[in-house]
Amino acid sequence: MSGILTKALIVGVLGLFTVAAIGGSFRGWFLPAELKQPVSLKEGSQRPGSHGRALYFLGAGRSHYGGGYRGGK
Amino acid sequence: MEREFHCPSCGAANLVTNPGILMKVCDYCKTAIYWDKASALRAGRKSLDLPPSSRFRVGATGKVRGTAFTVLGRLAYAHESGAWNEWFIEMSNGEIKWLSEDEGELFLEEPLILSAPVPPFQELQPGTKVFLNDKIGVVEELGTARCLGGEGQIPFVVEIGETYAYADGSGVEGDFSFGLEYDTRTGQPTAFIGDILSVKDSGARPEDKGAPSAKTAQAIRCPSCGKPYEGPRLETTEMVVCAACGAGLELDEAEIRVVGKNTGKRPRFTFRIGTPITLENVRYEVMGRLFYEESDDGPYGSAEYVLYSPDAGYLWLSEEEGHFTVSRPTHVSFSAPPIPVPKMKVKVGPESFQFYEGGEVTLRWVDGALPWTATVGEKTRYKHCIRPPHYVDQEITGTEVELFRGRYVTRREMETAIPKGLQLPPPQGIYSCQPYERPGWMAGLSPIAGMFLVVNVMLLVYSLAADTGTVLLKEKITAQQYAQEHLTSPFTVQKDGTILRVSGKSPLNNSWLALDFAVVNRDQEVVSEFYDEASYYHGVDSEGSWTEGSGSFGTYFWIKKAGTYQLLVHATGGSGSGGPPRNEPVDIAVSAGHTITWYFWIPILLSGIVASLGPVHKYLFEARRWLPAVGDEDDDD
Repeated sequence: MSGILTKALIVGVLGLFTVAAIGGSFRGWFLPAELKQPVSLKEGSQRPGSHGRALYFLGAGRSHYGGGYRGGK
Repeated sequence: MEREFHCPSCGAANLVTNPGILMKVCDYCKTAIYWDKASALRAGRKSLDLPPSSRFRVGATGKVRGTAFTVLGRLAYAHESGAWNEWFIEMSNGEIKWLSEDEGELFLEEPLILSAPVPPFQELQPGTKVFLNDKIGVVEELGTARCLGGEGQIPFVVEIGETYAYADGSGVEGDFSFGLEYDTRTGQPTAFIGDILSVKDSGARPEDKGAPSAKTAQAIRCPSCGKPYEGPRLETTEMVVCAACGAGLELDEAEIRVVGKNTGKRPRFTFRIGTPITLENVRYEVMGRLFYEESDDGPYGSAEYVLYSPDAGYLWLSEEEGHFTVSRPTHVSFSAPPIPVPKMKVKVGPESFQFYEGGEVTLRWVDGALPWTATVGEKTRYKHCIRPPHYVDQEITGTEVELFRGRYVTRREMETAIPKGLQLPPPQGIYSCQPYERPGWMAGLSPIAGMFLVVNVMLLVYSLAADTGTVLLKEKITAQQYAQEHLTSPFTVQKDGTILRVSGKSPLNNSWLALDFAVVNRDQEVVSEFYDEASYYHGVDSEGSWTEGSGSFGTYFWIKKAGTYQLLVHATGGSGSGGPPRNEPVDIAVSAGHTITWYFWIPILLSGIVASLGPVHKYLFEARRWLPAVGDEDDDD
C-alpha cells in the first residue's frame, strides 16, 4: 500500500512539474504579475522631472530596485 | 526360460528366470552360487544380510521411463566414502540392465563394449576426459570398491569381498553416466554406460516396496561411547553421528566404524534434525547437518542441511549469513580455468555462468544421518559460479569431484517452508546468487518516468521552435536619459496574455548598471514593474587575465491585454567598488512571441532521475553482490 502511495506521489510530482513547465513556458505563469491597480505616471510623480515628464521611480524616493511597489500586487 | 537348481552349500532349491544370469545368491543361506563355462555350480562366499530398500526389492516390478521391469537381483558395494547398490532389472523384452543407486541418485546402465582402449586406472584423475567409443566422458570419482554382498539373480560373476578399482563419471554435457571397473588381477577395464535418472523416473510399485517406511528399525550402538543412536536413518544412510559423543559412524559395513568426531562447541544451526521443510511443494525432513568453515579474511562458516523426502529424494539446503540456497548434484560439463577471476564466464553444460569465487572449506561439525561419509576435518576445494538466482558449485573432496546446481531461496519462500514459530536469522548483505528484486514502489516507475521524459523533451523542442522573438521596439538610451527616466516609443502587443522580453546591451567597463522598467499603457498608467541589471569586470592577477559578468541583460515580462504600450526606463550605475557612474549608453529591444523554454528542464531532470532510479538501484545491488569476490581478488593482488 505504501508502495502504491509512493509511486502515486512521484507520478503526481512529475505531472505537477510538467503542467507548471507548460504554464510557465507558454503562459508566463511565473513572470511578475501586472499591478493590481494601474498607477498613473502623474500620480507616481512626486516632484517635477526634466523635460516636463513625471519621475515615476525617483518620485517615489527609490533609486532603482527595492522600495516596494506602490500599486501593490 | 526358468531353471531350477539346488544350492551347493545348503541344498535349497533356487530358481533362475533369465538366461543371462551367471550368479545367484541363495535365497536361504545367502551363499553366492556361480556357473562356470561347463555350467557346473560353484559356491562362493556368503553374502552379508543387506538392509532392505524402500525403493526396490528382488521380485518387485516397476517402470523406468515408461518401460516395465522386474527386479532380478542386487549387489551392494562399499567405497571410501560410502556405499551403493546395483539393482539388476529385467526389462519387458528380456534385456538385463542395472540401476545404480548412489547418494540418492539413480543411474540406468548397461555394459559397453569398448572399441578403443581407455587409460589405465593410475592415469585417471577427477576431471580426466575419457573416450568411450563415440562419446566423451568426464571422470568424477575414483576409488576402490568392495563387494559387500548381494541377493537374487546377477548377470555376471562377482566374488563377494572382492575389491576392484573403479572410475565413475558422466558425459561432458551430463547426458549420460558411465563406470569403469578395473580387474584387480589383469587391470583390464569393463565399461558401463547409461542414463542419469531423476527419482521420479523410476520406481517399483508402492505395494512392491521392501520397507513400508523410509526409516529403518535396525538398532545402532555407538562403538565409541556405547550409547544407542536414536536419530533418523534411511536405507540410503551411509553415516550417522552419535548425538551423545559426536562420533561419526559409518554404516556401510556389517560392523559400525567410527569416522571422525565432533569437537568443540556445536555451531548454531537454525534447524534441528527432523525439522519439516516444505520446498517446491515437497515436504522434506532435515536428516543431517554439516557446518563448514572457511578461513579467508577471518573464519566464517556456512551450514548445510541434508533434506530427505521419500518421493523426491535428497535436497541440500545451505545457510550462510541468513541467506538460503537449495541444490542437488548435477552432471554437466564445467569449463572453469584453473585460476579463474571473478565475473569470468564459465560454461556449465549449455549454459553460461559467471565465476564468483573459489576456495577451500573445512568440515567442522556434522550430525544426523547422511547418504555419504563426511569426516570432520576433511577439506573440500570449491569453485562457485553464479547466474542469479542459480548457481553451480564444483566441489573436490579427495578423489571425488562433484557438481551441485542450486538456486537462491527467497526469505518469503523460506518463511512459508518452515514450521510456524520458527525464526529465521536476519540476512546480512547480498548473497552471491541472490536475485535482484526491485522495491515495490519502484516497479513500473521507470516506464512512467520515461514517458514523462519523452513528453517533456517534446514540449521543450516545441517550445524552442515556438520562440520566435519578434522585435517590437529598438532604442538607444543615453545615460542622461535613463538617469532621469526615459519613456520609449510606443510598441503594440497583438494578443492578450503575451510574453515579452526586454533585452539590452551596454559597453560596461569595470562598471555596473541597475535598470528599473515600468510598462506604461496608452492612458499613461503603469501596469507592470520589473528590473534587471548588468555588470562587467575584468583585470589581471597572478593567475592571468580574468573577466566577470557581461554588459548584456534580458528579462521576460507579461502583458495581460493586447494594446499599445511604452516602456519607462530608469537606471543608475557605478564603477569599481562604490566608484562614480561611467554613464555608458544602453541599447534596449522589446520583443514578443516568446516561450520560456528552460522550465522544461526541471521535469526533464526529475523524470530522468526517476527513470534511472531502477537501473541505479540495480547497479548498486550488483556492486554489493560482487564486492566480496572482487574485493578478495584485489586483496590477492
